[in-house]
Amino acid sequence: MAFSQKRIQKEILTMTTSPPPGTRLVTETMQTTKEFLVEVHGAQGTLFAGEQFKLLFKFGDRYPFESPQVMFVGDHIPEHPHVYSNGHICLSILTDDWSPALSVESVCLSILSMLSSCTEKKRPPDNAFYIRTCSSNPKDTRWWYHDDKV
Amino acid sequence: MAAMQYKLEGNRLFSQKKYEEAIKQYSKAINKNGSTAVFYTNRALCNLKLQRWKEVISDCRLALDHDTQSVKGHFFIGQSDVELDRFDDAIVHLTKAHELAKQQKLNFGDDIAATLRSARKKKWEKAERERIREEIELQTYLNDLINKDKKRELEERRKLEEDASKDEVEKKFEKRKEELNSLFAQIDERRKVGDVIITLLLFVCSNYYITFDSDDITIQKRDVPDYLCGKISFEIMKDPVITPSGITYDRKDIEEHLQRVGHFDPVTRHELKLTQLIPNLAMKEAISHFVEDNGWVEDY
Repeated sequence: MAFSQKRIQKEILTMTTSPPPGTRLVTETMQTTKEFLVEVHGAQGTLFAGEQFKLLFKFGDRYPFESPQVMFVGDHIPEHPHVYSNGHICLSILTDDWSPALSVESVCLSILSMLSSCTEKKRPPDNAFYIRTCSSNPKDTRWWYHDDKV
Repeated sequence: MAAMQYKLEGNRLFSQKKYEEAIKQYSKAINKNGSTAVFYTNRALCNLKLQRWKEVISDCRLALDHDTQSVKGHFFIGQSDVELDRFDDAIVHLTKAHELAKQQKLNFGDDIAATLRSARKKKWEKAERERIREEIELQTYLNDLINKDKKRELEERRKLEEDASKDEVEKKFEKRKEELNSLFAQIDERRKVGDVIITLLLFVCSNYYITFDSDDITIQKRDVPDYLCGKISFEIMKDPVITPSGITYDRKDIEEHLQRVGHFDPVTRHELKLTQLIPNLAMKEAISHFVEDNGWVEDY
């Protein structure tokens, strides 16, 4: 078994037995360990309270030495200045600032905290242009991390 | 012919997998010059291929008489000991071989270390089987005792002509037996917990949906503590190294990270160069103690 597979299995186990609060690994539709969904629940007392989103994780053979592909999928994409309407997320740890010490758990927590600290529900300013021109894989985008306030 | 020439002829035959004939050549070399350790270890390797473990060991002992620092001498004895179920002896020789190879900077890849790990694992498995057998024996013995005691008490009651209380006695002893067997079942259950986790994982991966109460499962047993696991592989470390930030990684993972991802410490993101990695000997010691006590770890 490849090294990455073993590590992903261990992460799946952690996500099943002790997931970070507000997240749930979707085991019902899980086909392979290379790709799975995580349900994310907006935290109480934030703009996204009561809302539920789905995150898609995809792993390449070089994981954890390369970041996983992570995006929102489904009908309900959070309306957030760092989330494009096609589900792509502008978050530095998913590309340039990835580190192999990060994990599914820590990515989920980062995204949850990104949602929780949001002060105004709106799309990124360049949303219309981006979704027309981008590749389907968010990792192909050369991201500009404009602000780290949110 | 000189001893060296017999040896070369032996090597040639060995590379053609003609082990019996190679052995003859090495024996001739030994007859000419009985004090060269390599002749013995080469013959031992032929015997190893032919699975003649006892011969391997006697050849290696002769080799070690002439060269106490022979890595191959210790390594082949260790391998044969594993085959002969002599795990304690195997571990001693393999550990020695591993140390000597490091001192002499000989490259055996992961071969010696892998054999050592498998010897430890087999030793633990043997002890585990022994434990299970002893428990079953004890359980049978105690059940027998209860049965005998019950018979004795029934006999006494009959003598006193208290037939009415027969049911009561029957119940009392049934309850005792039940309690005893449930105690043994609990021990067995605790042993299986490690397997439960693996089964669970298989369930999840093969697209089953199962609900379970995590309180039902005590994960403490048969789980490698996080502090013995690398921060990249999430597995128990083989060669732990520490960075200037104080974080410990498995050497092969942190080296791959420095090569592929970048020159920084994955956890603290401080700058980090290959030359700054220092072996973490205390951690290594802690890990080998843990592995010794927990043989199942090897295929964790």
